[in-house]
Amino acid sequence: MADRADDRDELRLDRLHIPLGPALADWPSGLVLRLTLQGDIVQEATVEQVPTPPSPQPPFWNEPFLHAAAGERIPKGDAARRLCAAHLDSLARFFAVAGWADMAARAGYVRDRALTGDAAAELSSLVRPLIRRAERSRTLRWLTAGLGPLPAEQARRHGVTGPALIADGDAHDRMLVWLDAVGWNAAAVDGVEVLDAAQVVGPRGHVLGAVPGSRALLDVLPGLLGGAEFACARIIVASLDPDLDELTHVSAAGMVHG
Amino acid sequence: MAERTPLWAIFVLPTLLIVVAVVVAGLDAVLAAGARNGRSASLRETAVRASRPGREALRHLVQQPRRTRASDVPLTRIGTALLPVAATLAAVVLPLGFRSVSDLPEGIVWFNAMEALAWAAVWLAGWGPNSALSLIGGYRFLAQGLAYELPHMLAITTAALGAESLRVGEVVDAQAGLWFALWMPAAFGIYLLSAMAMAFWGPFDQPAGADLAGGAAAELSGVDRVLFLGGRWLLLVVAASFSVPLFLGGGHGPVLPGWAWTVLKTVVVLVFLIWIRRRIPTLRMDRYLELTWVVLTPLAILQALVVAVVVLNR
Repeated sequence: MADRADDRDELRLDRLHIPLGPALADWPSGLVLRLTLQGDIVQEATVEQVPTPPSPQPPFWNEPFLHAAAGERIPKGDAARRLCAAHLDSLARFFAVAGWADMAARAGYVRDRALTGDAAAELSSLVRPLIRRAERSRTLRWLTAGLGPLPAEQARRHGVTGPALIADGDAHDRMLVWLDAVGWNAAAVDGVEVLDAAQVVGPRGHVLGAVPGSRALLDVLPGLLGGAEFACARIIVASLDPDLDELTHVSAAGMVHG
Repeated sequence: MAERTPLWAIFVLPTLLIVVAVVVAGLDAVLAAGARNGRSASLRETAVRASRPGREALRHLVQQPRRTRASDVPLTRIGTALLPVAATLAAVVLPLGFRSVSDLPEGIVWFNAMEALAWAAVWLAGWGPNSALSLIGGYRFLAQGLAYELPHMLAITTAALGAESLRVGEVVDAQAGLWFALWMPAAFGIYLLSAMAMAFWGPFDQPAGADLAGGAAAELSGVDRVLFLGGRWLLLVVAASFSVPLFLGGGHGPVLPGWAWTVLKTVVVLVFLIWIRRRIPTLRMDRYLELTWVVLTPLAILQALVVAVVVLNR
């Protein structure tokens, strides 16, 4: 399967074509990346997605936001809870890929606690040490800063609306945005006011936009991967963390509503 | 110092190593389960958690082995078997108290040579199965070797320099008054880093990283997997234990007998290594390489220079 091509140092080296996904630990499920590698440097990457029948089920992480947008009365606390858990889920994958198994396990544990309905005070006390450790880790900064830079302008051009747009930076910045959001959403899970249907933003961006948030993330992905070392490539994917459920749902909505 | 070691020590050594490795792996499993599922509710649950590595090993032993297409079976086998063998052979020069199985005149060189065997082992195990992910894992360990080995060799040479001998027993004797860790702190620190790196463990576990589905071990199953991953624990135990005779005064200490001091100090080092892995994410070798060549290597040379001057003026 190997052919040869010039690498970045103008050496002629073997190229290895390998698919990553759709099933890999800590990988967005259903995503397939076709990589051309030289050694462990990514030369080219194309994004595919496992063909799945369109699902009438709303994507789990967007559920409260879609319901709110459809006019249902959703308490703000429920939305905050789902958002908090969604970002913790993303963080768990990010930490796992960065090789911080302990933090990944902890993030997964807190995510489960969030979903099973811990109160704000309890959840905040679980979340706080997690955030502090991740924010203060100089090693994590040293290892993830500079990977997959995505300036806000470029993100906007591709239609990215979620944390990746707010972060306006590299993988480490995107993680910081998640941490931030986890912190204040954990404090807001007891909220009872009704969520404003006009401004619902899900974990990956606007849930009602022309392009689903995850579609936009997949569009920017190949451009960020070229030239990345294998481990960096996985960190970049994890720092965007597209949710492919969003894509299958939208096509279903398209069919139903014509 | 040169006490004769009875012949049965040859059989006790691997057994002892395995017991320590199993205990350490159990401790690690308890901590990992604590992070995943919260604090354990009862002593019983803790025991179940601690027994997980053992149960995993048994499960792999009875599991149907799987094999990749066009894999190089002999090479993979040599690679996986080499890892525990290298660890055990390296341990031959490890003194328990003041006795080792064989106190070779060039024990430190022997240790370093056996540890370099691990490079071959991981590379073969990664290359053999004909799989991209395990191949990358093998490559990574070679890059890791380039990163850690130079300051590591300088660090152990510094200990030898301080004792004016390559014999591990004499290195221990030289620390009767003052531990080397106290007057060669840089060398000691570098040694601890490389102890983790040579066992590709802790922040240096990239060759077997989760992002590669297990890296060099990704395609190993059955006995091969147990040998490889078990060998890695042995290597960690041996690398950590070796810091005791090199820098922590071996069996020297008040009141307690020599062997007890050795065990105590080894336990402290191992617990530290397990703790540190929970605190730090995996280091990428392209980043670490910068640090080792720009900071750690010059530091190690400087440390060796200081020690050399002290020894010459003694």
